[in-house]
Amino acid sequence: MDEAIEMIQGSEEIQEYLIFSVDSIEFGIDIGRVKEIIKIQPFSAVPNALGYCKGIINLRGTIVPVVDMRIKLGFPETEYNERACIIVIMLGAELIGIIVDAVRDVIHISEKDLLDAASLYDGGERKKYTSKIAVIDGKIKQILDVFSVFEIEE
Amino acid sequence: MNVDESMLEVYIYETQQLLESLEDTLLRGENEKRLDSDDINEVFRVMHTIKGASAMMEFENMSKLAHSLEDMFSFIREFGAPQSEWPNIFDLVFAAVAFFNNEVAKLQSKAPMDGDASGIFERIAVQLERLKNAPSEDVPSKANESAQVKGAGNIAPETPRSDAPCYKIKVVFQENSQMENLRAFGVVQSLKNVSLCTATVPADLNAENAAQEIVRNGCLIFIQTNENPDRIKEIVEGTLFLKSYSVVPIEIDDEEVPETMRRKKDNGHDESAQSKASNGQTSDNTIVETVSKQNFISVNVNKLDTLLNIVGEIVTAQSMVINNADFGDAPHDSFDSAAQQLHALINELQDIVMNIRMIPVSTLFQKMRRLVRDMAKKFDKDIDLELIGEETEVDKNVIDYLSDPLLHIIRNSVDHGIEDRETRKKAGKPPRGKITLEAHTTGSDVIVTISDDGKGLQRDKILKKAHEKGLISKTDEEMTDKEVFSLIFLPGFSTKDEVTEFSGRGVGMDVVRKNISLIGGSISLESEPGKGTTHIIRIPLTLTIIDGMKFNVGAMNFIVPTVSVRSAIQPDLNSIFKDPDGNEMVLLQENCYPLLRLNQFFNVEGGVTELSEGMIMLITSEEKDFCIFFDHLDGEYQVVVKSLPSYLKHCSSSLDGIGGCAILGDGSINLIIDVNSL
Repeated sequence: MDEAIEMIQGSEEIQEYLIFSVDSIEFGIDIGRVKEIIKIQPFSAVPNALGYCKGIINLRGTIVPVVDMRIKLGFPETEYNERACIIVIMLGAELIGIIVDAVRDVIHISEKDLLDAASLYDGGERKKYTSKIAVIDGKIKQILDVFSVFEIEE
Repeated sequence: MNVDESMLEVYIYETQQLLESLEDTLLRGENEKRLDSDDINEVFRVMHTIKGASAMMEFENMSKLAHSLEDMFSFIREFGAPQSEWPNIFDLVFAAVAFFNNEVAKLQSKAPMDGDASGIFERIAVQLERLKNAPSEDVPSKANESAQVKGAGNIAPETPRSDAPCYKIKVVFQENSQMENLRAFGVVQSLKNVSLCTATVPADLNAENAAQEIVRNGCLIFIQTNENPDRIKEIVEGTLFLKSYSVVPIEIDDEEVPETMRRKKDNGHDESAQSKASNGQTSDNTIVETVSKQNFISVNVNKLDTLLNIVGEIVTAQSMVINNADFGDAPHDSFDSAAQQLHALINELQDIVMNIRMIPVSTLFQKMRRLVRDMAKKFDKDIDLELIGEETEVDKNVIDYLSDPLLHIIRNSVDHGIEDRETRKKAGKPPRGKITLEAHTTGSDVIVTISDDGKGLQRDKILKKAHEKGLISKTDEEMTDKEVFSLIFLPGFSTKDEVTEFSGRGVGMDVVRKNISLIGGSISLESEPGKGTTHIIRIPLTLTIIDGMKFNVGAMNFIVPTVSVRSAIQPDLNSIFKDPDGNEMVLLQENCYPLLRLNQFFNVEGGVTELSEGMIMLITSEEKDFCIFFDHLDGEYQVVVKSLPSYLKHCSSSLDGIGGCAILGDGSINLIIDVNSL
């Protein structure tokens, strides 16, 4: 009985995160939001597109806008290499594709290992997109706050 | 046996239904070891109907058995049955039901109906005898009931109690329900149980042509009864294959009431007193209730949306299959014909799905009646609202989007349009103003017009206001009436100076137009000073599937609704010039149209810039006609409109001119042009 309770409590604390890299930084995103990972494919252009929007793609009948995270997060733009891919994430009822340099790993991070990002650093454009920070094996993973990245209200 | 197939089908269906409901009743009753008076009536009614229908079809055994059961229940209804007899009665009825079911099953499989019911007959006869001889124990209450609920059978109408109210009942049966006279007879029989006196038109339901007459005009039943009208409705409602019915109170001496019934009543009764007494009340409860009884089921709209989406996907998949078929040089006639058939079927499916979502505009229109009444009172104006074409059907979504615009326009008409009594009198108009709300369909559109006979729009006033707000650049003389009137659809335009409770906040017609364009519709208006204003709202019947012409600009593919395209041509360089402000204009068929280069408008890289290498298309929108310049035309397609992902507005500095998108058979994404926002 006690064990069971412990397990339930434990499972609440540990979350799975998909770790991907953009430029030199490793980001994490709650795996529950990730719909799928697809390779880079031709985009249909969007009228009067803003720089970070690469266009829209047809994902089996659903139209998905695709955002280049390098540009969105203020890193220099580069050519996509073979490791680059699109992570399709769910935001509310909609799908958005984000282009990242590479997908690294799926890791478990327990709630207590997450630090509040705001207390750690101030200033800088990218900071507002990061809600939490985890240090895993001496490496910093920044947990992406998707709602503030995509300016969508929760 | 000389009956046609469809009649047989109806008989089988109906009898099975009746037996099913009978079985339910019996099973319920068996738990309590007895049937209550409602249930007894139910059994009686079922037997009666089966008897009649079977006799009509010349199924003698069935009819006889039903008849004997009817007799037994007639007795039980009148005098009740001792508790000890109920188990036997249940057994007997179940046996009879089994017999009926067997025979119907035989009928269905076209086997001869050779069942022998003589055993059951005997048992029924014995049972009836036992009931008659049994001491009546629990009868008292029943006897009271049956005093009112007179034995039905074929007892002739009683002498009417002159003070009981009279009702005219009209029943209309569904088309092809067959044996209408018999059905009407059934209704009359059930009504006889509760009424003092009945009469019908046609008078003799067994007459040869009675059925045809009922099919044509429905059956009128006149009854005099002390029963509550609700109970009457209940009885009538129980009839199978009923399409609609109405129950209306009527004077017994009304001319409509058949002679047979009237004469009886006239005997020794002061007629004038009677009619005087009830004259007052007839006005406000003439119609007790008119209900249309049809075979409706209610379905969650979400399910229909899903269905519609899937049909949309099928349309896409279909064109994917057909356009990608690769036969090389091999002949493929059979594929073509199969493809054509598939296309026809899918079109039909599409129509059906769209049709399921259609509901009449009447509820929406009725809402306006209330509004006009309230507002007219408030403004102290006399206004009639005329509704035309209430039965017009539109998509469920359209109703939702149409409600606010209609409210707004009608408010405007009452507030600004229709003058007060004095002004109208001076202008030589009838003192009562009139607003007409009309809906009708034309092929692909629903058109809703709202017209009033008020003072009309004042061109000068609109122009003055527009100048004040800096909304126009042209001189007054250059503006056509159409252009001037369309100014009132601009945001922040309202000519009424003071704000009233109902209208005139300056957020008005622009919101109306926006709402309507959300469902792909358009609004325009016509007005004549002193005569009135007419708003015309045009909404496509189908919201999600459109015919469009495909073209491209650079790498971007677009679809423009075919209805908006007037022509597409290779531009003649000599007909293109610049006006003094540097705007490009096209001279086409002796008219000048502004030219919009889509590559600039949408900021597309790699589009054709040389006029000689591209094409132009003459587009007609609500307010203006204009030309667009693009790379090249790519054929006509039927596409399923998908809304743009909402995040896209964060991806673009402006999505003006884009109404949605569509995925074509090859998987490519095409943007659908909204000509009104270009």
